[in-house]
Amino acid sequence: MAIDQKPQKQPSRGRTVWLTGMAIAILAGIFVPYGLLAGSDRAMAVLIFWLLFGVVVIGLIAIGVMRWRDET
Amino acid sequence: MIAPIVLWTVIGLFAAFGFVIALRAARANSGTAGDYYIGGRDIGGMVAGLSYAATTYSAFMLVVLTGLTYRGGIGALGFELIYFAGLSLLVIFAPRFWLVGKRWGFISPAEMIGARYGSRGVARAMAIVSIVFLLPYCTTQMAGIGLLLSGVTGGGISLFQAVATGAALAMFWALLAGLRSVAWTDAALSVVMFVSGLLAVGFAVAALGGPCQFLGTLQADHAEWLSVPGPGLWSFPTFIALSFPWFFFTLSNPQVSQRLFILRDFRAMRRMILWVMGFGFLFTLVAVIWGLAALQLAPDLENTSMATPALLSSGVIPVWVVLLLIVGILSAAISTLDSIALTVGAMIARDVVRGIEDQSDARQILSGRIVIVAVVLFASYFALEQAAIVDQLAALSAAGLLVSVPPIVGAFFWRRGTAAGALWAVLGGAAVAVWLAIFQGISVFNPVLPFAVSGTSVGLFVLVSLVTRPRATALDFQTEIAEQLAHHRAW
Repeated sequence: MAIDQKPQKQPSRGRTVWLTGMAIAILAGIFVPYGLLAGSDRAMAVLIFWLLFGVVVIGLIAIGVMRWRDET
Repeated sequence: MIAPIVLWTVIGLFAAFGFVIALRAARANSGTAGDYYIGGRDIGGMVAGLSYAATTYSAFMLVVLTGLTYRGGIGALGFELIYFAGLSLLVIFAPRFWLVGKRWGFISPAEMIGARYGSRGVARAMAIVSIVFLLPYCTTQMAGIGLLLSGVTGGGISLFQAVATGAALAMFWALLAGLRSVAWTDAALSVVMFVSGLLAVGFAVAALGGPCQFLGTLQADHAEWLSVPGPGLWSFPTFIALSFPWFFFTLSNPQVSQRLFILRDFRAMRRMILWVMGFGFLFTLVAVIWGLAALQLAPDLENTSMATPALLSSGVIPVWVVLLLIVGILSAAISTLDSIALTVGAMIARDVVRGIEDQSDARQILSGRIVIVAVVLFASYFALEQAAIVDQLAALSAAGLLVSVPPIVGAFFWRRGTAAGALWAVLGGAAVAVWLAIFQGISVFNPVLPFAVSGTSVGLFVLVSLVTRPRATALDFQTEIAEQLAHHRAW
């Protein structure tokens, strides 16, 4: 069977959910500070938001790698 | 200012420390190309993680990022955290790189992509384009060393002396025992880099009256620096222009993605990612706080790349911490430089010079060593010639290297991708990058540059693939590793 004729396996639901979560987090990491919080008079709002964003990213990556099975 | 003799003594001790580690690493090498370039695929998670962190969190952090924070405020944190979020790509791609690397014995990412599409030309094109865009990035590391050492000594150590020192150390560690000595010295020195950074920031914040006083003064005197777009630098287009290419750094930069071949097993892979995440997040905060502290302790600098040297010379940081941090920044720069030199050496030896099958291990290592010397000399020369455009050079390489991302993604997720598509994506995207940046003068702070480069690369990859056929010699990564991915529960 040629390489382009092989059946495509459907991605797992877990991967789709995780990718969606990560995409939302990244878009929020860009558009919340530059949209909702732009020019905000709450002085530390952007700083705090980005710190939380970093923590969320760490959590999502940890979820992705902690499920790996180690043994070969 | 720090007396040059004191700094030379500390650099001497630093070099001796690295020399001992590199010699021990050399004894562990078996003499094969795989051992020299990727540590025999037997590097544990902690060493790999710290080495990855030292390579990716380069002198850029404490020289350029602090300067961007000083100049533009908190937007620098957002930019660096979007880059940090790019580590999420490892969740999907690290298991795939590692499995195919082990299955087919790949040593360089270009070699992997060439084999996937069944074309040595694709491997060669990726290698050459990577080299073209990585060399400017090397110069930024050298320039960082030059700015730092000459800055903190008030010119007592000349730019030439500083660059020559960095070049000698980078060459020595990469030449002696390849990846193993680079990884071991990286791991040890990344600890120095991290601890010294934390200490320095602690002393700087303490000098400003503690965390509450520091933040209070910042709000009172520089409130604009705590918002976006801030005082001017971090407009939305600039933020996107810088963040977009850096998000893909994990895949686009071969000296980073090659680290995925060195791991012992899945446990090591997971531990590596966790170490990089912890290090990266905290070090990002250190760099940004450092820049904001410099804003208060060393105000009104014309050249913001001098924020770190100015803060180190301000007198508020104890000399022993200053010396430790200088060693830390020096380590970061050298780590990035010798990792790039080693990867470029591997690509030249494996992908560019001749067929893999024709070369003995000794010849592959010799070719790589010659290239390492050439890369370091090149970086040194341009650092001496163009140190003033550090920011622009670093970011241009990130945008240019984006061209390798479509063929990499396609290699694992699109069977219909062809060698012709991959070749056009790499060469066409690279041509657009050079044309826009060099001939049209489009700045790396303009989002037109990364979007035009990535759009051209993706478009050519898809369109040319659809009108051509996959080669009979192409490998089917998806099918070949599907069972192992499922076994390891990797997405």
